[in-house]
This record gives sequence, structure tokens and C-alpha cells, in this order.
Amino acid sequence: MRIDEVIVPATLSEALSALKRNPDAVLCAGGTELFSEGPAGPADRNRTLISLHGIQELRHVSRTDLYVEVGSMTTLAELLALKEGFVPETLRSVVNRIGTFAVRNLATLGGNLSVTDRFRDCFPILACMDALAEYRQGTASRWVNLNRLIGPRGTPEMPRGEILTRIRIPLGGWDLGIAHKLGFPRINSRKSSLFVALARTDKRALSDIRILYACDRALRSREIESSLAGKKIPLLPRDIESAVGAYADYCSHAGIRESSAARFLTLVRRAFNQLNEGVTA
Amino acid sequence: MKLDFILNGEDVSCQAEAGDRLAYILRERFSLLGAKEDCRSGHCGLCMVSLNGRAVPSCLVPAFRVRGAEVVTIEGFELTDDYADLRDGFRKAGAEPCEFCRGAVFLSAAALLDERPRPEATEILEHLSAVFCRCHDPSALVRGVQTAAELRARRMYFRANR
Repeated sequence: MRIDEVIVPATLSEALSALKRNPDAVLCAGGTELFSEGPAGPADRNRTLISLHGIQELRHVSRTDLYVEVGSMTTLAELLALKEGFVPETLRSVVNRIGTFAVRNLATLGGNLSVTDRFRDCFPILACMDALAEYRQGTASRWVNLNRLIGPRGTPEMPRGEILTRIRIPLGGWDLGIAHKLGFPRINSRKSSLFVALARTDKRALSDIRILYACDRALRSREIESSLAGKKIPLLPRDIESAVGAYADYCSHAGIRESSAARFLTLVRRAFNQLNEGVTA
Repeated sequence: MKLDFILNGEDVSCQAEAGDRLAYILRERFSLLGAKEDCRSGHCGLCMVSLNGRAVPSCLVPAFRVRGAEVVTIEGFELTDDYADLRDGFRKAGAEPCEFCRGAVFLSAAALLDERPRPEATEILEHLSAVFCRCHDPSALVRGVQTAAELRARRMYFRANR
């Protein structure tokens, strides 16, 4: 990457004023995405870069009864170093499969959520959990549900000209939490895809289910999810088949590749079976 | 841009482009060839260094991030007691890594032992999967790190009770 100028602010307010002065600047968190050379690596043109690595106020983690709040510059290694149960276990398992321990010492949660060309590992699980992200611009701030960053065609639509400062992760107990990465687990590949399924049960009925598959775009059907809510569990084979059929129709309407659709449907079926096994156990 | 930082315990200074990688700076400006620049995307781990006490792939560390930081390469780590424990532990276990990956393996193992003085085999394998080299025999790596952990614990004990 060719860099004209680097601004290394020490505080968030310095970073916000630098961004106001340079609205086209590239924001750099851990740099693992920006500086890795991949097939679709960073654009080879001169840019101003604002590196957020020195901003300590973006590196906090706190917890209430309802949610965990993570500063965007918290590294993935710092997240993993938190005591067990501090962050949801499914998120922890996703983070643990990102890169190697050395890469996780650099990579940050905010950086992982801000990649613009493709959804990275933490996005699907946090979107399923209805996590909120705080974006700051000048003196204004706003909280955005991560699901709103999925564009109409399923592609990422990350805010520009704003700095992601905090991520608020709700602490709802999930009876089923599956996060499956397809592709090379340790490699930051632009070809990997992620499948996430979360489910809650109440009195032997499915009270909430969320399924998201992120390949070159994110696939999530709230209609199918609501049609499943309230079903008795274990789910009957015909319920499973009808849901898988509905997902197959959804995939063909979304126009994703057949191979991706086939993988997605296999994982959906497996998630339902796992939900039934969990209930039976 | 001018870079001032601490390299292997000494204050150093050099000129670099903002987008230069630390691995490149170490090799080209300081002739420290222990960090190998191979994949340039952090996968192979062969360019491992310690940055402010954390093991990181130096190919993913841009020059501007090094300003004011403390960097330790395998050349600096070789002068420490921790290195001697690892070298002796790996030798004793018959698990010496090849010259190409030795620095990265020892820096990764040292990072693990700092966190977990008595690591389990799975933790060792997970941690050392950060270094990609064909010379590795996983069971030998486990033996090497565990032997080094014993030597290190013994040294710490003697130091504390001296």
C-alpha cells in the first residue's frame, strides 16, 4: 500500500478531528487486513492513513448483566484472555479460530468488523446476537445494529467517514450456538465462508432461532426464522425438510452459487439435528 | 519518515517509508536476518518478533507502528536466559528446529511459556501452529517445549531461593 501521510492520534478526539480534515483517509486498526498481501489486496494508490492503534480509550472491556461492551481497538488476543464466560462462548470460539496467536496479538475486533469487501469472522456471530456498534463523527455518535450494515444485496455496507468506537454484545443465553468456518481456518482467506446458528428454547419449544451464512454476501431470512419460532422440539423431520426447502428457495432467489448453497443447506440441516440432539440429551 | 525505537535493548533510529514492514526494516536497515520475510500476510510466522512484549508477525507491522516501541528479534532473544532454556530443552528432547524457523519457533514458545509456565500438549501445538515449517515433528515440539518449561521452572526456583 502506498501511503502519503500517516496520522497517529493519541486520543479519540484527535482521531475524529483528523478524520474531519481528511474525509477520504483510510482508518487502520490492527493493520492485519490492510497490510496482508492477498489476491484482492489493498488498492495501490497513495492514501492518507489514520492509525488508531495508540488510542487507549478504545481498548476497554466492561460488562453489565445485560451486555458486554468492547472497545473497537481491543485485540482479539485481549478478548481471549478474558476469563471464561465473560464474553459469549460462541464468540470466543470464533475469535480463537482467527489467524494464529501472533496475528491475534495485532488484529482488533473493530478492524475485523470494519472490512469493507467481505464480512470477516466476527461479523456473522455478532450480527446474529444483535450486537450494536457505536460510530462517532465529529461530536455526534450513533448506535447501529450490525444487521443494518448488511446491504440490500447482502454485501457489507460499512459507514464511511465515521470511527467505530465500541461494540455492545447482548448477553442472552443461547441453548444452541454453532459457528462454523469453511475454508482454511488459520488463513485470512477471502474465499472462506462462515455459518452461524443460534437458538433459544422455552418449555420444549423453539422460541428464537437465527441463522446467518456469510460467503461473498450475507444470507439471512427472517421470514424462515419466524416460521420456525414456536415449533415443538425435537423438530419433526417434516419441519426440518420444509425449513431446508425454504432455505433452498431463498438461496436460488438470492442467486448464490450452487456449491455455496449446497454447503449452506447441509449446515442448516446439521444445525437442526444438533438442536434436536441437544434437546434429547 | 524517521523511526526511533528500541531494538534488542538499544535505542536505534532509521529512515523508512511509512508503509514499509518491520520485517523489511529489520533485514534491510539493521541486517538482522533472523526474521524471514516469506508470506507477507502473517500466515507462516517466520518473521516473528516481540513488539512491546507480544509476539507478532513483523510482516504485518507497518513502520509507523514501530515508533517508540520496543522490538526484540531472535538475535536479541538469543542473549537471554529464556532462550538458553529453550535451546537446551529442545536439544535435550531431540527436537531442534531447522535454522530457517528456529527464531520463530523459540519466540512463539517463549510467548507461550510467559503465559502458561506448564503448557498442555494441545496448547503447545495450537501455539506453535503459528509457525509454518516442514521441519516440525509435532510430538517432538511438544517434548521440546515441555522440557524447556521444566528447565525454566528450575532456573526460576533457584533464582528465587538464592
